[in-house]
Amino acid sequence: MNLFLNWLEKLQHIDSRILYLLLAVVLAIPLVFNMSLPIPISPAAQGAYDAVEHIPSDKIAIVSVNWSSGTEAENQPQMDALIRHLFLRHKKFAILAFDPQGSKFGEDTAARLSKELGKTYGKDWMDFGFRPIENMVLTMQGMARDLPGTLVSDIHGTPLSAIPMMRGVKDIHDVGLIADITSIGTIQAWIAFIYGPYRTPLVYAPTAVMAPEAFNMLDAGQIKGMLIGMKGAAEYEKLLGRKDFATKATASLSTSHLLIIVMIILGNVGYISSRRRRRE
Amino acid sequence: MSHATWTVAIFEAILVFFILSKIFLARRGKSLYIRKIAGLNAIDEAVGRATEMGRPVLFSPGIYPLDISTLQALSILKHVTNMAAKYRTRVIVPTLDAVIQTMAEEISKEAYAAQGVPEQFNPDDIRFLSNNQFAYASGVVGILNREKVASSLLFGYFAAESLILAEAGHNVGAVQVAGTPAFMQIPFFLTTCDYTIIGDEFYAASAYISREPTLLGSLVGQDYAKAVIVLVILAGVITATLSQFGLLPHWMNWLHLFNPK
Amino acid sequence: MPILRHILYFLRPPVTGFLLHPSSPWYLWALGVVADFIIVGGIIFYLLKLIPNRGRKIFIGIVTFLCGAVYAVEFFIPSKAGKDANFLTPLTQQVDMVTTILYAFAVGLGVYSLISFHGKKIAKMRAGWPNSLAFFIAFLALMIAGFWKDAAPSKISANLYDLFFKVGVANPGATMFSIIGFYIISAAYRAFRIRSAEATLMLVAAFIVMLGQVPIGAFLTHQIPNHGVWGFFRFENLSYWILRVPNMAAQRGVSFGVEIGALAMSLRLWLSLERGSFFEQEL
Repeated sequence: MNLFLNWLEKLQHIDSRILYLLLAVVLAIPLVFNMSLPIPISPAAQGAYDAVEHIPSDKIAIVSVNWSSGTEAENQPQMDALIRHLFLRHKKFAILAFDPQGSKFGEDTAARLSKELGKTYGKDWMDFGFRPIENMVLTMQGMARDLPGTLVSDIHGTPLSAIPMMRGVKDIHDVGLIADITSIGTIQAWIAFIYGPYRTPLVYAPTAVMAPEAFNMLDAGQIKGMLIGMKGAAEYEKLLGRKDFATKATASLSTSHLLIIVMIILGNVGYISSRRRRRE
Repeated sequence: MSHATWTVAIFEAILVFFILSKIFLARRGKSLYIRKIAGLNAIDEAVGRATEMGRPVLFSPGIYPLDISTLQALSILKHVTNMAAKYRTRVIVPTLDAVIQTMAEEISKEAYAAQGVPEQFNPDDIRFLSNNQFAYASGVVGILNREKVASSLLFGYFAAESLILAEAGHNVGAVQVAGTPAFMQIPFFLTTCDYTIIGDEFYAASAYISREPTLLGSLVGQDYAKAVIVLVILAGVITATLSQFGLLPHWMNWLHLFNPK
Repeated sequence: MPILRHILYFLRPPVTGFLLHPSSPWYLWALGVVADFIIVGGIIFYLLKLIPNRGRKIFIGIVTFLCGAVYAVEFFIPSKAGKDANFLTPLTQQVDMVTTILYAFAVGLGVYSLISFHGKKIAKMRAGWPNSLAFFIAFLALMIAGFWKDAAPSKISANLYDLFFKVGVANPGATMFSIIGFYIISAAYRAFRIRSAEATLMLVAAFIVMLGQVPIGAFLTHQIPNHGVWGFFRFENLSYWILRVPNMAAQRGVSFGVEIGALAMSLRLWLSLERGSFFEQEL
């Protein structure tokens, strides 16, 4: 009996390296064996999908790309799904980045999907390129009043007047949706300077750790929908009828969460066992 | 909103009135009580531990450029370096911003000069690592491991790298005290640090440490301002509930005053 | 650069404001900026020197108050009908541009600091000097690749830049972020202990939210019908409720405290009431 109790107590001191190895294994198995589970659609993701569906045909969308390589695993599938949806519903959009890496990721993604879906730069999508984040508020305020005057040219230096889809776009009233795909806190600025005065619909695609903070805004109606990390991207893929990377990776998410729960339970078994022994 | 409505202007004036009035009352000599904050007391213990072990202290002022949270972190750094200079303990300050690095250098230099040991100040201990978040995190992890830091103080605004810094500090056996206004990083600090300062305790730090009347008065004024907010929320809940059941005349429903437009 | 030219033209300093035009050649603007720096900067420094020490604090207090007042007054004056601006809004935008440019100087400061630190390490052959050498190699490689890509665009220069970006920047950043996943398991395993009733409640809530965020949670409770009272007990619905109700309430509570703290500190800075750190230094 003593041996058993000793063994139980050891459960609260498992070496971290064993934990890391177990985690690596449970993350890899679903990806290697292509496992998948049914994905329920959350109201937040449905709200985001509906907001894109309801973009008026005479307005453009702006996809704001504010993330860097660190959060590529979460934000890239979100961006893929959103841009694919915009292309599939023939909604014109422009990419605007306040992160230099984000600008590259946004441009590469849109170019890849544009090639896949037979879309044309300048007619179906365009890219404003990178604007310094120190100028973010100025840029937002300026583009709300005079979009061509503030953003002036695209990423290649072409004046906006020479880009077919930007003809007739004067200010924020010609923008039907802003999708903020981000790993930094840019949504507050969008709400303060764009949603607040002009009521332009916003969709938020943050990393999962930032999502709990955003339920305030979702509840208040300041954002129409939210994609919560990779899971949100998987929900969006399901709404589009696709099974891309996010859908495949959520099985890994599931197994890793289960592992964490199991390890916490084991740790508590060891803790309770040692507490009982001390009392005796 | 980017411009105030009349309701917001009046409400803000009330909050500002409480803060300023308490500041001026405190400067006139009124004594003010502030409760114990365990995390802030632990800063002294952390520096003491580093002194006993003969190993340095690491202080990270967060990843934001110069703003309110970083200024607060720098005021805590001043207290830490003053104490560390007294006991001839090294304080390593890795920064993500070059402007913060120059400010931290000034603070450290003055602290050692004030203790009469200006030659103990090593400018290489105040390092600009990178303005990339994860490059900064990997640099700090390297410093924690190479320098065998005894105490790690993480004060300021942190993002995803918070768990990397805190877990690396735990792995080297450092005592860790963390404080951040970034709500989402608090759970990570709570699970890995010995003491965590939550929410507005972070902004109370300079008042708590220095006991300066202006800062204490400001702290008490903040509490009064929070009480006003709580009263408004309670009144709003009651009004909204009564309106929902048709028990309140329409003209008594003042909640629309808080709509932005 | 066009923004800087317009600012300098707008401010009317002696050389760039009066003698140059925004469309003048770049080398004249460079000379003009240097001349303005010497003339205007020299005058300002001379005047500051004339002010006695005690007076400098008052002077700084007045400048701080005026600059802060621009933003405060602009916020409180109602905006014009149909526009999100009042007569002070253009002034705040100009002040924003000036502060952005001032901050841009910090980029050079950071590079100088890195070169100085790592250069000294190599020169004195201190422990770890090969790492400092690696810094210089990486710094120069990415800088040259970036300039080559912009100055002489070609497939080779674009591919080289992409390679350095992926290998040197994007992938290490993603790797460091991924380490968080591993650290979470060790931190959660170590920290989540049922020490009290509150800790147990938090643990149960954490389990529900974790399972509700992933498909396995929905799978475990998929037998429960998704409508009626019982639908609430499906993991994904319970998790959503925890995030939308108690989590949101706690977030709002902490946010009020933090924002009031930030308001108080901003007031103290604006009105020069702040104490400690730099604020009581002799000038």
